[in-house]
Amino acid sequence: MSTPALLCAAAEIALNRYLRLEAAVLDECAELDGRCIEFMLPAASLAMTLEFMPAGVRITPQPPAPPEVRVGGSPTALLAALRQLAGGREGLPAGLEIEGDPELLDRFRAMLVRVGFDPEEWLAPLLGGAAAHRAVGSLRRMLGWGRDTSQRMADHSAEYLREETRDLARGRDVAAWMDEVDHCRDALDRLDARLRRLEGSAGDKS
Amino acid sequence: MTDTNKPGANPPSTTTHFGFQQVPIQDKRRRVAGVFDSVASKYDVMNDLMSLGVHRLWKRFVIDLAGVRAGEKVLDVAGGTGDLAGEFARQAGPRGLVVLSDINASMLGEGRRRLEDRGLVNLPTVQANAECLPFEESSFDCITIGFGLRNVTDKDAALRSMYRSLKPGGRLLVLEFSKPVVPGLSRIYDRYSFKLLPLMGRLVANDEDSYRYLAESIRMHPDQDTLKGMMQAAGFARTLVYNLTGGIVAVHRGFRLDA
Repeated sequence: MSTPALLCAAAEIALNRYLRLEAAVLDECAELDGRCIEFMLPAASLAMTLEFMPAGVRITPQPPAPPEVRVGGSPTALLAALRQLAGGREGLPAGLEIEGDPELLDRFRAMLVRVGFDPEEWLAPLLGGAAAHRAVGSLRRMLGWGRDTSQRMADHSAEYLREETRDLARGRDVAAWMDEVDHCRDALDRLDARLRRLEGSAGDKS
Repeated sequence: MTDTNKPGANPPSTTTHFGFQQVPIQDKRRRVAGVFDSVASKYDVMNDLMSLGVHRLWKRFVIDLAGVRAGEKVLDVAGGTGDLAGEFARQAGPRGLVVLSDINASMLGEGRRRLEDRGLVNLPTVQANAECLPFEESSFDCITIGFGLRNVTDKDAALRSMYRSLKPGGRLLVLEFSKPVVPGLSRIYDRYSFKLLPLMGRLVANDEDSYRYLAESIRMHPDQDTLKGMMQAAGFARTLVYNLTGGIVAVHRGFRLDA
């Protein structure tokens, strides 16, 4: 079970570019030189090993040395972990199967959180500070517009399905129907109680 | 120790291969020099034509995988027209050092001219044999050799020389033609190499023989596993092979990890 070398290369290139955004993180990589974490995705029969080195990390399909910690999980658990990392939240993500010493994994997580990601800083050397500021501002406005538009579209579609086509029930109709069901259930309970009472009194007379 | 016509095998011999021919060892360097003297001026045009531009992607992959950082010292062996060295110079920045080296003066001259055209006038160029690099031990953080190793007479000596020139922790990246690993690709690739390539050489560069040598030298070059073994024998650790375009080209990476 190992990941194709090209996938490892892509992961390594991307991760090293990210880690190099923060010089202090590279010092920490140098401190951890030679220590390994193995990541496993059993559903896809994939595994890769991350080894720390002074210039960042090296990712290989096979562990060069016994890994200190193995991390595995379902694709959804790994995605949730990535979301948690992106959100900069503390603690190891839930839903992962961790085998070995989690201290190294926690240090790696802390490094990723510490780098953070400032797109302006990343773009500035390519476009210049002012252009990077404008580009990121425009991108944020565009993403915000996309988010608002999709939210409005979802609201309007739901309203159309409720009010025009009646494919979806309106909230007040559902509440009224639930009230009627409750009323019906109460009436049934009362009828049941009366029947039991009548049966009881008929039994006493006989 | 020299490479013979069987890739990777090293029995004592006074001859070596030059394409499919066996030539005296001392003749190979002169003959390879003749090929590159002949193709230097059309080298880039032919590269684009022969690979349909894909050689730029292969080189981009090497540049990304090398991950050169500001301030690092980089040596581009058999650097030819300086495609890799130019990009490394940008990444290493003013605090770093990038050296372009090639055994062939024509190629080196072409490389220097092209780098000057790109505004890189301070990049040192060194005419050097890869088998005995004229640098102090532990001089470089990264060494690359792109489409050059197969033309070296004694590949083991070249790998040892590059290992010696690397700093501990440094990495070597070898970009070279290799053996296709995708079923069915070999047949198409052989036809292309031995029919179309010499024809293109004749029509574009007016030099059919040099491009026939190119196809033959690729076939004589060690395959992925053999070259990996040679790198390990030279002392490299964490060696890994990255096949590109179905194995037509492979990137070998190894690290010098001793203190």
